[in-house]
Amino acid sequence: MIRPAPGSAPDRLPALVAVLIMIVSLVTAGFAYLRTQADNRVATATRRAEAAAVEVLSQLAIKEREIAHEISIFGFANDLAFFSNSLGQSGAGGFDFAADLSAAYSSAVTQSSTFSGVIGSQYERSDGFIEWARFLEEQRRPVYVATEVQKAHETVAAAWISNSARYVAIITILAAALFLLGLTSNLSADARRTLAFSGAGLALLASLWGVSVLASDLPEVSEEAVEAYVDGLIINLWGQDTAEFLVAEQRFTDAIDLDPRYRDAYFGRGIARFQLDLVAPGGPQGSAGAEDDFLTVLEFDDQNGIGWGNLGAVRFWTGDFEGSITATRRALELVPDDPILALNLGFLLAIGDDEASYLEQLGTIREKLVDLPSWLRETVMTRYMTALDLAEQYRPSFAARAVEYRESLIRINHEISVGRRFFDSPTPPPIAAVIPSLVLVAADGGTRIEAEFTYQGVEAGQRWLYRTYVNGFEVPALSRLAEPWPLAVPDGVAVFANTGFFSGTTVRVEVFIEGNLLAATEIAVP
Amino acid sequence: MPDATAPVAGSETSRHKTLVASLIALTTFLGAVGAWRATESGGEAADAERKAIGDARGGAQREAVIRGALADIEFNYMKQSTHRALANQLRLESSAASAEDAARLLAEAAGHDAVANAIFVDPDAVQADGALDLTAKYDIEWSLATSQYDLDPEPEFAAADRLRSTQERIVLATALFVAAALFLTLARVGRNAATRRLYFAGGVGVLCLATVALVVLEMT
Repeated sequence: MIRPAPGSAPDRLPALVAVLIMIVSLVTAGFAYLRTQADNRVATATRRAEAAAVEVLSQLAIKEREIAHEISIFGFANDLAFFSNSLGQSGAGGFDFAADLSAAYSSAVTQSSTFSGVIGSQYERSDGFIEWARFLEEQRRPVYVATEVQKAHETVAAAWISNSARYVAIITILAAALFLLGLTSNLSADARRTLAFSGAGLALLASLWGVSVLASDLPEVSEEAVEAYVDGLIINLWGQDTAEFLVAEQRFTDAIDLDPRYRDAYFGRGIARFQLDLVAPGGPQGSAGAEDDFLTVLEFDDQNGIGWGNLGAVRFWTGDFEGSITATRRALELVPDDPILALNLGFLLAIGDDEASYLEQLGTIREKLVDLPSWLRETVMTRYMTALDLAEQYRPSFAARAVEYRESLIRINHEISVGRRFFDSPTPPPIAAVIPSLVLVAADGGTRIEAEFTYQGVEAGQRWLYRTYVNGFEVPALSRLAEPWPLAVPDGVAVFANTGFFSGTTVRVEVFIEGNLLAATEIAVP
Repeated sequence: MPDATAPVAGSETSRHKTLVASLIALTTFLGAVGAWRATESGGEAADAERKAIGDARGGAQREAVIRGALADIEFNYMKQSTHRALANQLRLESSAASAEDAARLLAEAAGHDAVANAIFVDPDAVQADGALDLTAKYDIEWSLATSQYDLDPEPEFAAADRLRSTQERIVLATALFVAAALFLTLARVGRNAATRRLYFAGGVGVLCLATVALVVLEMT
């Protein structure tokens, strides 16, 4: 043992090291406790998330059943009402028996309607229109609440898992510090001092880290925030006007005030603000608030593809086209299969000066639309056409390009639809035939429409058809099914005509050969 | 405390060595007991949680089944009462109709009565005056379900929380036993009398503290 020289000051280091070892040991014990506590918080949060997941499934089953139940009652009452009205019309013509039956069925309508949750409720407008979207979303509210509670508990569990891992690291460092302190007893005075200071320093650093972890602000589940968020979410799903979206915006703000880390609330508020801008009198001007919200969402998670996509959409309306393209391209990197993002990028390229990229994007859009089921493709197209209408109406400098883009999209959509139904493939192989002109002429006061078109390069045996759309809706009775080309080959002029049109409607005719949409045109019936 | 820690001429007495060794053995034993109790508490908490989740799942299933049955009952009642209203109105209309139409209307009314009579509506969901009472029906069914199964997860959730809290504290006590064992070992093998005294005092102090904590936790 190294002893102090006679007359020199006693070496207090061993005693100091002993005290340090004891302190570090006790601090380590404290962090062992905190680590166990963190693990238990993980278990508790996971358990609560699991219980919420059970609630989600349960409420989903219950609410969808109740919705189906309501639809059945409404359908029953509605059928009776139609029956009663029809009998009433017959009765008004002097047929007493029908009038008596109508009165009886009318009472049946009244009786069955008392069981409906929508007829005569806040969901029925004064004009008799039922706000089904609002009814459905409000019915699903418990499902949304349980889902949010589940997500919130999962977030809490993830935060505690992270803390638990930090405590393990801290305990490991403290063990290393103890090792260094313990080594001091077998070394020379100089080395002993070095190791003692190293061990003490390491223990101090680990302890400070531990204190910062302990003091860190971990997420908690706020049921009030969830309630406010779900209020906003539901309105976002059915809302139509400014007043409704203002309520949604406020409820999302309430949720954010209660839980500033509620990422989805920023996302929802961004949507509400975006919608507010779209329905604003005078058209959309671009919402700085929505942009801020989506940027906040991306601060939380820069891998949120839909967040990037929404940022791109907002920036289009604020006039930041470069920023819009950048954000939309980033979104497509993260969510490459999203058709709306592809459509957004298509329009941004359409109004730019890179025609080659625009044409390439049209091909990409077609590939994405081909992959969608018909109902989803039609839904996407309908939603997107509404946005294009706004662009055409409120951005005059892009109006012509919007019209052109809309026509391209309609042709892509109809070619996929017709190809799938009549030619066994949504993507028909290209053919050499062309239809250079297609002209519609209204005759007989607009009830008869004649279509005249010229054609070139048609081969014998190729199948053709035409489809007629009135106000955007396909009318099979005014269309032709696929059949072998009945006209001259290869070049010529053809005329076909249909009757049964009404004044004020817009009629569109498209001619297809082997699934290729070769010509389309519209006429407003005078 | 006896002067057990005082070294004699730079060395320890054999009594002191024995005492320290005994304390190390006691500390180790108590640490092992603490570890066992902590594991037990954790296991019991996990069991309680599993039971609670099972109860929650069972409750949710029963709730969904009962709500579905209530929807069926309401729909049947709606159809039945509608057919009855129709029949009543047809009879009313027949009173002012021609003889020929009256006969047809009454025949129609009889038909609707027949349909209404054929529709089954659970009597537990109908009040004495014939009004539909789905709340009463729900209460009956839920009462039956809860009499057969434990569908309330809250007691188990509360027990799990309590057990986990206990486990955390026992882990702390166990960690203190480990620290005490370390201090006592250093009190036994240290080369410096002063530090040995420090370690001994610290070891005994921490051992006492941890022992009291473990006893209190086991008693509560």
